[in-house]
Amino acid sequence: MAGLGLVAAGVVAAPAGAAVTGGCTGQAVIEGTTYGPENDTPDNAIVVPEGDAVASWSGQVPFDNANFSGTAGITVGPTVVQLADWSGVNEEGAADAEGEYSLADLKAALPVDVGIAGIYEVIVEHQADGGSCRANVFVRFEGDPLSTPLGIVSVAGAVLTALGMFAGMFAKPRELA
Amino acid sequence: MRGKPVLAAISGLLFGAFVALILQQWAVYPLTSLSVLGLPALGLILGLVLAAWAPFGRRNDRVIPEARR
Repeated sequence: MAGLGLVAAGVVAAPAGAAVTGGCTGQAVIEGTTYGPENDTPDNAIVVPEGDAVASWSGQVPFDNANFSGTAGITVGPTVVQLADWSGVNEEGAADAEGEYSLADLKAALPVDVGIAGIYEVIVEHQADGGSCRANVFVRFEGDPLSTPLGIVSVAGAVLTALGMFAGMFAKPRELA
Repeated sequence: MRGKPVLAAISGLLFGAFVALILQQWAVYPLTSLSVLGLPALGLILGLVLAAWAPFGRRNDRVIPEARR
């Protein structure tokens, strides 16, 4: 979980002007493609490929990063489902970090671990003694939705409920006078 | 209302939720407040409208009861 937080913080930490507050910077490279804070719209999402790719990430905060903590989660309607959290003392005062992260661990951290597809809005918050950052990016998991339980349920549910609406269109029988 | 408003409204509500899930799964639109709350609300309204319309199974009200026997 802490690894997810670190890579998420690295990906979403951003230059000023993007969907980030706090002035953090960062990027992640996945299969040769560099992602960053500009990936903040559904049609410009970070693409997580199928399989076990590795993301090389780096991030930096512009403030005193002692006694840091943070969370990462996905937006589900008006709420955010937390996926990871992290914290530390950071006595050295390090304000930047880099590393590699297996995307298989990211997928395992999601609520549904039997197959994942689709697009998610990821919200990351990081705070320390010297300040805080908040950012959002969109992440798209490649894969066939019909090979995942959620994809199958969504289609089957839509068909069944459409039939329910159709049944509701039949007039009720009336009692004859 | 001629149709079955409770059935249609509940079905429409759930239909909207499943459409939101389909859009998310096919990477068209994520599960934001707009899709998670808006689409079910639209589905509910659609269900009620369809139940009010109820074009199927109408009886011919002009036929007198004796003529049906």
